[in-house]
Amino acid sequence: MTESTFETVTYEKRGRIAHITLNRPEVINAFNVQMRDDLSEVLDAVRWDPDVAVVLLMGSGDRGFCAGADLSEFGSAPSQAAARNARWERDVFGVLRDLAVPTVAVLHGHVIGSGVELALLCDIRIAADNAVFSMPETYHGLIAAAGGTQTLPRALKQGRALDMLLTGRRLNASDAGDAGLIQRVVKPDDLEMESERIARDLAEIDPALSGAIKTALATARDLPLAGGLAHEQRLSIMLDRGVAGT
Amino acid sequence: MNNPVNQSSENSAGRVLTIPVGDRAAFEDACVRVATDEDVRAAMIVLIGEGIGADSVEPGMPVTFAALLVPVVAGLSGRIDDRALELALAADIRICDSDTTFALTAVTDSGSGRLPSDGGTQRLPRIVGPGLATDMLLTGRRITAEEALRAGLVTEICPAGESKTRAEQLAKEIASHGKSAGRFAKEAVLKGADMPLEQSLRLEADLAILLHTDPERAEGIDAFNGRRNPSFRQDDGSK
Repeated sequence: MTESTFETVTYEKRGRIAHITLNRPEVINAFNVQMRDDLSEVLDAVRWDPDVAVVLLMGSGDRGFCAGADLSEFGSAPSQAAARNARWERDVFGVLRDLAVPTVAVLHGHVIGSGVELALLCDIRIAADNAVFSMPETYHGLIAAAGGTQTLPRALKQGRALDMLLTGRRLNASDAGDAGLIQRVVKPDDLEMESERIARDLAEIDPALSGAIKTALATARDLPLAGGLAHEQRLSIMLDRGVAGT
Repeated sequence: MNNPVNQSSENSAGRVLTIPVGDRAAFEDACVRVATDEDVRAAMIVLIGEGIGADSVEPGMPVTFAALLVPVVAGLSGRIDDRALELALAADIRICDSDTTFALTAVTDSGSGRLPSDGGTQRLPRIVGPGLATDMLLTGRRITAEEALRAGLVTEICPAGESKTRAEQLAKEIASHGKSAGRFAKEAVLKGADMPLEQSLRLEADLAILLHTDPERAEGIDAFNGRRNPSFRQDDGSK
């Protein structure tokens, strides 16, 4: 077991399962610049670690997974150009989304704004039945900026995504399950056990195969059908030949 | 199709405009007003289908309607068929009364055999998914409010007769949020839908950073940090 503690994130590797925990429970794990930097370090370690087969992303404390961006740090960028550079220079959201191994968001309590966006960058979302989801950015004069305006309508039906983004409507776990925002709902006491079970199952899959499935799903999202089918064929042939990669 | 909301109307702060559908000229005028008056923060329509036809929604109206940059809420009741449905599909958020039903009868109508050409073949599959859309288009299948909710065609079912009031509440809620934020969120979703994810994320980030110039964004952050409501919730002081 490997364990590293950063200021705002803890990282623990148990066997082949990476446990990444947002760790600012006093502010319901509000996402700040320090957390971005800490998460970036952890994800860089995970990304190049051949022993990691699955990632679990969760939040510490009883109150929730993540209450959203820490707005006390907003508006501090010196210029729009600097803000734009900063967004892509350390694209922690892109790194999470592009991890080759399966990722599972383990959700409970408040899952707000950036919390929803982080979860949507994972492959599978499991939630305790006490979870509440909302995207309140426009209320504060903002828009989602960690992919939410794109990942939400791709996970949900477009009308539901627009409704959440424009009105700030809150969904409970049951509604979020019906809407397709999350795939599994469990009792809070079962969340840890159930997510560990999913992670163990995912860790059994040949990493070349799970990686190929993730690549194929990204292709299905982005390419016209003919291109996607051709890509699927190529992936299948490469897997049969034992060729890694895409 | 009969719509009692034939006069464009706005709430006291002038922030929500109700677009009338019964009269073409009034409809076009209201859409121009929404497009040109920056004080309008949200728009709504009320569609009450009473018959099989949707006579008052004319060809081309959904095109005008879909071009609006502000968030649009549709309150629906009765039979929402054909062009009325196509008009509703061009709104952003749809809610309906419990007795509302939806159908595209153009293909199966024996006297007509028409191709829905105001977005029905394009927006419906994007909104409810291709399976249900194909079924509705080819068989003329009529779906209930409950089915529409499950399919994502509407996001809320109201007790009979209450969808208009509820649509107004939602439009007012949207209008109380950041003005540019609402428009940009709508743009990011609708324009980003046709892009590969990578490009769409660039669009989102660019809109988010363009929003840095918006005084309402600064006010929204300041209000959050001061644990108070942003001032744009009460009145429009941003211009």
